[in-house]
Amino acid sequence: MNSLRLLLVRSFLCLFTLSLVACGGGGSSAPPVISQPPITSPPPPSVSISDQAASKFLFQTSFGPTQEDIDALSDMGYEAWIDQQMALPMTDHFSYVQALPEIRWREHTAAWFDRAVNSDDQLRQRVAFVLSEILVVSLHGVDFPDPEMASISLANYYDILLKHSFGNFRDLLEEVTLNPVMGEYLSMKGNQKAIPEENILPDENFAREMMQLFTIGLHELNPDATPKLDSVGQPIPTYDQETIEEMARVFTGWHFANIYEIVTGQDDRPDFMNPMIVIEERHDRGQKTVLGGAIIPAEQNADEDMTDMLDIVFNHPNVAPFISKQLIQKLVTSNPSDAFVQRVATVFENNGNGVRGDLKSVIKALLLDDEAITATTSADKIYGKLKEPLIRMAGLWRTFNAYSANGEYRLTYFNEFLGQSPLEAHHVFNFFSPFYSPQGSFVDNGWVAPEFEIHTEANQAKMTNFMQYLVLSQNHLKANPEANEILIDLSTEITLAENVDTLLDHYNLMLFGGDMSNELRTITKDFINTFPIDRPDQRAIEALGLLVVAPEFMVQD
Amino acid sequence: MTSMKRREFLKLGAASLIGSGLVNFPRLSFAQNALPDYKALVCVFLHGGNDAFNLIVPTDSDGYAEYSNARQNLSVEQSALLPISPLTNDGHTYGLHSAASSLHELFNNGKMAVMANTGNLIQPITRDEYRNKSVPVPTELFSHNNQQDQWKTINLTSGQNSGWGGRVASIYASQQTEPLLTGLSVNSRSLWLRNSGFLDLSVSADGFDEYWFVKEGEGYENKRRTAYLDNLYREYANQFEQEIAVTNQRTLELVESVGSVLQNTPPLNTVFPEDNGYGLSSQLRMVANMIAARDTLGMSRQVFFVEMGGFDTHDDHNQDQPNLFGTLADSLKAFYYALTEVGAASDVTTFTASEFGRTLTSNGDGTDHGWGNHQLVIGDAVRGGDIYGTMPSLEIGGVDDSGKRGRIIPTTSVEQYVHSMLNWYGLDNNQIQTVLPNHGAFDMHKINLMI
Repeated sequence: MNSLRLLLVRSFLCLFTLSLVACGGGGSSAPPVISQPPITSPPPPSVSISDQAASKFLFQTSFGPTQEDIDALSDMGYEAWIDQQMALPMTDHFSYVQALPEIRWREHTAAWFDRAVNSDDQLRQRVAFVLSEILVVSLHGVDFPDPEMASISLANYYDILLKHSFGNFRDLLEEVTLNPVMGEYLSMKGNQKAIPEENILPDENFAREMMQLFTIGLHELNPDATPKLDSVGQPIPTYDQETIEEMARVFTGWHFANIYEIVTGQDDRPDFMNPMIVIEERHDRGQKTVLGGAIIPAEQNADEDMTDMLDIVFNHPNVAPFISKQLIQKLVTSNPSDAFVQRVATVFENNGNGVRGDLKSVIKALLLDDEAITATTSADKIYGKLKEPLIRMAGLWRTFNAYSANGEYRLTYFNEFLGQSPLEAHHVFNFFSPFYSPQGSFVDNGWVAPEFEIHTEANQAKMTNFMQYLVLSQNHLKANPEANEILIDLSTEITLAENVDTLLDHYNLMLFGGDMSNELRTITKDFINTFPIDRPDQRAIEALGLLVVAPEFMVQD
Repeated sequence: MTSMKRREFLKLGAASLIGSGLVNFPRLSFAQNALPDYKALVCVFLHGGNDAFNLIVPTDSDGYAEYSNARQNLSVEQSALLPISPLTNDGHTYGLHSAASSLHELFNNGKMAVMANTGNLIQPITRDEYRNKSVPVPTELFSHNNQQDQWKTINLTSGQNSGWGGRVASIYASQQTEPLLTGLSVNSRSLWLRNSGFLDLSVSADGFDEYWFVKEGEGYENKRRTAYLDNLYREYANQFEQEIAVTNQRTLELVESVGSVLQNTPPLNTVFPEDNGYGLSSQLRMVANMIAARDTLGMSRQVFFVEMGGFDTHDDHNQDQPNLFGTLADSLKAFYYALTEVGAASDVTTFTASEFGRTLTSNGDGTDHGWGNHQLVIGDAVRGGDIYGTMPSLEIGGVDDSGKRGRIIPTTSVEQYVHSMLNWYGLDNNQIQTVLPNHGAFDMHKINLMI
């Protein structure tokens, strides 16, 4: 808290003459209206679909299928189910953490697992997880005063993502910008105007990463997210260092909501929950020339500057392709065709009613796109993606009704095996890059496979062990489990296990959307048949232990 | 599983390389054209942009005044600096940050050299050329991931798919008993090790975890193992499935061959420091263990990549820096002594890298992304106890400042920095030119760090 002591001795900080500007963080500017007629395609009719199609769709739209989800979705069809999901109330994470008897480190992950396994608003939870990997904050890199503050404020940050998952991207961007966890993570908190005589200049961190990672990326994009090229075939930078330095000035003046209580000794815990407030004396009121040469006029306060700045960034033509492509990549397929990206980006530009950044329409468009529904892509791409380790784990728990005797989902060490934990990336660039491509056929063909960046020789034994452990050791037949052990319930599967084909049909639907290959089926069948017919428990459990580490389960296509 | 079948799984790398469409290096039954000696390069990447301008600081009154004028509230106390006596004198005296006493020891014993003000360059450039934009500069300067990639690839014309560590390793891979072990990154994959026909392998700092539930044994495990392996060693039409199957094939083979070799290698006596959450110490310990087993594994040339994060000090700079420097220094020192213990201190050269240095100016309680930066080179083959290259002016807006924030323009390129190390490693001029395609832009004999 050295920066706070600095505040105390700053002569210009006089507590009696401060003009406080608190900002609620709600979208203070209406999204712009676009006058040109929208390009829309008629929605597919709502018709019932097969159980297999429903299961496959649930791998994109939830943490994993359950029989109940499959039944509902197959009756309603894709679109009606999406509409119903989007209308569900949000299941927040904060209240889960708040209700715990004792709040320790990393309870936000307990909330995350509980919601992934149990909540009805699965699509919202799944989209928020995607957003958490674009608008990254992390437990690593924020100096929290104590475990409780860390857990509640990370859960609170996650709730912002949930709240705006079907809202407007502009509102999301603003609320994230003013969130104190983000403020600390990318050091906009405490950012101040220049003090030339002390060689102090505004902090460039937030301005840079917000553009590079949250909104527009480094290079000018076409509407299909391919890079625009200059006359000599080179990509065109979206901004330069001068732009960053000017924008760093825009984001000056912000600090913790309780900064005055801290400075005056009434409080000793920084407020990581409420939106940051402004110390107007520390805000640079000069004119700034920002992204695209736009001018932010002099003599505005910090809030006006911030609002203008986010409007300018939000209206940059890159945002639609940049964000749309990442949403597609993280939900549906790593290598969407250019046409698919452009179709979704077009909806981002205009939802059909003249609104830009309407995530509800964007998500719906991408999930209902022909490319997603038919699992086919252009000749130069391949369809599908590697599942994230965390999603494989949460999916196993959801599909097989994981429970603990005390009702909690606290598991502290899983990230050591999975290399992934919610809101715990090692830097703002997320666990893996959207541009990552493993060597061999992927590089040779120009395909990406982002999730492979965290599947390496260094962790594959760990990951395999952990998934098998969750099945083979942590199931409802475990003798004398501790009250906090999380166990999957395979009682239904055991009732099916006498007939190997019945059991495999069930696993095929629940784990593979009906796409289990004949080879995998044969290998699994032979394996099951090595266990006696009167040990249905062994047959059901061992089969699942094999299937959750099979390459076919690790991939979503 | 019969022992015949098991041997097939031990064809380390062969199946994996075929599976991933890479060149098939046969696993040699004995090192037929092995080199007579052993050499390794260890790249220690400081992730986030290390502020080495606070690690090596001028201590003479003029030099310190310039430094403290620039750095203001980020300045290290003059009295706390640990004095060094470089062999060559540039008119200034220098000291190391007090948290880096382990580096002080290495420098004073002639085991460490400092490479001054190096960074990504396309060609040499002056301040005026930079400001006039009359000379090309690396793209996306000041962006973490792009500058990291450029450091690792220094391959500015042909995309980002080949790292220079991988280009070095590829030259030697076919002469190793375990070709796949020629280049290793600890914990995460590294672009530095990529090259076509060569794999950017990564291993865990914890060693080689066994596949608990499918290892060879009796009863269920063998049945499980058979079924599991049948799924791994299938041809998948789906490229994602094929890739993850091959990754696991490779991992299992590594675990079951190299893992047992390492288990039978005597443990190091050298005590490595606590990781302090940064992971560098345990990564270096893993590298030391691999080097200890070099003869058993039949290795004569290797390159290793380790990394330490936390250097992106936009905030809390003065609080974090002692921990960063202390952890880095203590880990590097332990590694050096571990190499001495296994008789490899003159065969292994360890060098640091970082995407960029940091601004000399402050943003209140931290720094922003810079460009030029000092690096460290450690080993018995290093002409240590000296500073190489040119120490920059630290004046804000001065002759080496790209602008007004103290983003120092590098005076030595990455190519020049690593050239003498590659020479020592055994590469001839043609090979060096392949590894450093942009060598023609620089005087490649400017820096000679090696004995």
